[in-house]
Amino acid sequence: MTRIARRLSSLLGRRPVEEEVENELAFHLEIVQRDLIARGMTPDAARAEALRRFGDIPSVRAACERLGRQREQQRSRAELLGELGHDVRFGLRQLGRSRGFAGTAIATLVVGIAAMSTVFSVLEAVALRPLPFADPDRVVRIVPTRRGSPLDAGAGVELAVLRGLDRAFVQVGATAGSNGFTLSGGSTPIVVAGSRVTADYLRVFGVHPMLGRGFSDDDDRPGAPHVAVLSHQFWVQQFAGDSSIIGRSMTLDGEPYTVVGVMSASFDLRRYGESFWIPLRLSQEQLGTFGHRFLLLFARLRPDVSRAAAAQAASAVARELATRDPEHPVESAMEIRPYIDDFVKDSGRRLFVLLGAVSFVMLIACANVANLLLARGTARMQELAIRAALGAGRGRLVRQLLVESLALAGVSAILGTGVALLLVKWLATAGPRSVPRLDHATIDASVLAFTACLTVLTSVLVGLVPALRISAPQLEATLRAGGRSTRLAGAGRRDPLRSLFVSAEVALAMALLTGSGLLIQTAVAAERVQPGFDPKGVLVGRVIPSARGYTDAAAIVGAYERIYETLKQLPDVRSAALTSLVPLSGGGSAQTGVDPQDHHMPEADQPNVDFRLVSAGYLPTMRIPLLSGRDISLTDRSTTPSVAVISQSLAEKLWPGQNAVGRRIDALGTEPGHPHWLEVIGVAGDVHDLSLTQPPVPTLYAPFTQTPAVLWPAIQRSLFIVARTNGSPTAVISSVRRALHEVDPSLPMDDGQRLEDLVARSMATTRFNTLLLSVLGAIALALAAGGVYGVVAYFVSQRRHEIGLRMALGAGPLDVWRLVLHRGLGPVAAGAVVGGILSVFTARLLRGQLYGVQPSDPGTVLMAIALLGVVSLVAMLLPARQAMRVAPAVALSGG
Amino acid sequence: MTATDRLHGTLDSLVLKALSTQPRHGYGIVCWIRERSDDAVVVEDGSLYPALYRMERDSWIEAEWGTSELGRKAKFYTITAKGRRQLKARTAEFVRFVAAVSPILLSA
Repeated sequence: MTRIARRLSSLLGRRPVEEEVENELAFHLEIVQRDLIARGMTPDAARAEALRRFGDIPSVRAACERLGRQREQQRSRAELLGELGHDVRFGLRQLGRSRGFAGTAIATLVVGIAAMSTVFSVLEAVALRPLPFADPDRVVRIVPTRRGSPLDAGAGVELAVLRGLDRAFVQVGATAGSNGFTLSGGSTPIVVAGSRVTADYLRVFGVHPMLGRGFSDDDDRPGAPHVAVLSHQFWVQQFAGDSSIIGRSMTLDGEPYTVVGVMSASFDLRRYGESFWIPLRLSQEQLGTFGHRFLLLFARLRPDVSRAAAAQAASAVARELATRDPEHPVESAMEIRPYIDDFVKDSGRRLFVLLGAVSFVMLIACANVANLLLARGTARMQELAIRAALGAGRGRLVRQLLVESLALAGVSAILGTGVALLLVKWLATAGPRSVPRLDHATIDASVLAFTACLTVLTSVLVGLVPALRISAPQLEATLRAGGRSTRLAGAGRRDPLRSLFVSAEVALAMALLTGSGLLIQTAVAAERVQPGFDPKGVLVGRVIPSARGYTDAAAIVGAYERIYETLKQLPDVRSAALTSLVPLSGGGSAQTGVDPQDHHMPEADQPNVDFRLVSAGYLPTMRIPLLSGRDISLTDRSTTPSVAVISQSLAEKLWPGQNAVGRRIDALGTEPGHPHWLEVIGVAGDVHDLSLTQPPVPTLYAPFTQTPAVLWPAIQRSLFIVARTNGSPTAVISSVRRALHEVDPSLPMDDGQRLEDLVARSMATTRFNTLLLSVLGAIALALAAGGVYGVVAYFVSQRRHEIGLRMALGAGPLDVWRLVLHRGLGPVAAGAVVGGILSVFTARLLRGQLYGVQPSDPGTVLMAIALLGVVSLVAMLLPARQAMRVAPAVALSGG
Repeated sequence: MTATDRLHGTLDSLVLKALSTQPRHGYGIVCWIRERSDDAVVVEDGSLYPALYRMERDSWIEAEWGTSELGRKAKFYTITAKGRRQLKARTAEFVRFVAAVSPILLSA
């Protein structure tokens, strides 16, 4: 449209459409009349003829008005879009012109947005995304409880009766957990993890295999041919994704297993999950007794049944079962837990806390940028005043400023998403193993939607207050004053808004610093805990003899005795031993009841004791102190009396204050009614088994040579080699393998690791969490310091005149410093107080993750205050020094 | 295409042609068409103005108020670039239509 046309059309726009149509039609009638009169008609006849020629004037008028209004609508829409487009382009150009401001603001927002997108992406993948099952909220874990506390596993008879509860459950299945199997057939045998499951286990999840089929009930009968279903990642890694795998055979523990199915990639939920499933093949007897508890029970609820109702039904069944069994107390029940809770465990809660922490950082970043915008806005008063004079309404100005801050946030969001992409990728590999589905985190549609909402919210948060402030009605006065007056709104002596922002930043930073302080103290305290053994310089390797060739206890024991002999003779091995379980290695625990002979304890009161089957020399190799009596030695064999070494906490529990050596206990019994007596020959120091932050579990060490025959299959005939080496433990791996090979070429050992690495991994999650929160705390501190600096620097620049005057009148550097301090400390102190109160509440959220320190620890709060104080003082120092350098003459003249 | 559509289309084309040389007001367009067709085509006043408003809404023509021969203000229309494109297209379409139908209707 030409300029003239535009101007005129804006004039047109002011005239209502009705008037326009009226005028136009009137003109037409008039000109027709004139022509008719010129041709000789009378004025009245001419008028009548003109009207007649027109036709139905009202409907024509109506049509024209309607079309005219449509035209106006389209025009204003185009105008609005044009204005917005102009605002965006203008905003971006403005950002380009003030690179310093734009750079700082964008960098600040990028930090916040990247952090939030990353954490949200991880949270979504780990805890929010539904699991890839059919109707995932119907899948539950059933946990039997006794006297209110959950038991680790269920028994066969419980599985059987739960299966019968078909008014509550569509499917009930069980797994015996993940175990190591020897996979042979390649050049060397390797150890792979697999699970024994019931035929209905995979059906519980409602996921169909990608290739082949799942298990049928026939596969699950004792004596049926061996079959296996592979996981997708195992199929790819081990069999190169060969699609003709169905029907092929693989050798596990010396037995051939036919592959009947392969699960899809979406079922690979854990990075180090099981590689395959094989049928558990429970016998009728196992399904009828309580026996040994080793089943993890899972079920799919009926569509119309709630978890509470299912729990009631299951608990009723459990109570009924308990009455049939004299050995067990009546207070039995069943808990029904959503599968995802069990799967995600702690990680969900920790991630929410992390999201909260990251939100704090985001808020601090927004406060900083808002302050920047306020300062910048004051400088732009002149430009905005002119616009207002030209007729831009306040709404138009506010809109323009908001679009500018949206452009700012938009640019930051794009860059921030790029950074988040990198961070998420890094986390997928470097993050702790215990977080499930961490490697599934990506920047997908939901994360982008989250980021988009965050961007809009940020731009409003950041831009609204400055926009409202700057477009305030005092603009005319501004224009008259030439835009340089210090009486402008927002540039006053005491600017409460900017101080408020800084106080808020300081408060949030305080909360974060306190949180990180608590976690750092936790990590430090956990590091200081003596594990009870010395993990440095120890190699750990697992030996799993296959079922074939090692069917009877004598053969197994003989093999291990030979292994033990060979190990002790290896050159770089200072001492070596065998054990069924390594502490802090994340392996499961094997438990037994313990009943002292001299004061019989009913089973319900017996402590739950971990047991280890060890060789002679285990205690010295692990440097576990022997407190009294003697250690297990080579003379303790299957033909000599059964003995055991117990841990100190167990000795205290059974015979408080008395000597335990020489007493007898009934433990490791395998036949009910037949006590298995062991003589206590020694007491050893306590060892942290599960984690450094949990108290040591009472432990019993028995010689592996005296292991009851039935126990070997329960621990898969497997023992760990622990070898304390001269020099690096990993250098010895090949000689250990050779030693094993000499004893029996078919004996595989797993990869072999350093014990200190295993121990470090047990703390990996805590350490990672601490690291993350500390990084966030540091970022928050830096941003808050930036905020303090900004406010003080601004104050100095506004009061240059006054400072110059004071210095000219004889004020020294100290007085200037005091002036600056007086201005800056106020908001910081207010923020610290609010922050202290805030951190009391936020620290409570960390309750489950702390060790050795209380959430309300005052020392940590004081440290945070001190740190903030120091950093704030430094931040105020720079502008203060600048203020002092200002020559009084310059300040007085400039003003 | 219904009879009214065809009529619509033709009316639009005539109006655009009328405005292709110089701006005119509504009555001027009617006169020009009458002259050029030797009084054969008389556009009804009642159908002209809705057509003008429609074409203005669709940005084929633009309007501005100017001084008329009567001395009072009148709304003058000018063709836009978009309008010119429309005119060209419709003219070509019309020629094709005539070329297609003529042999049929004019044959023995």
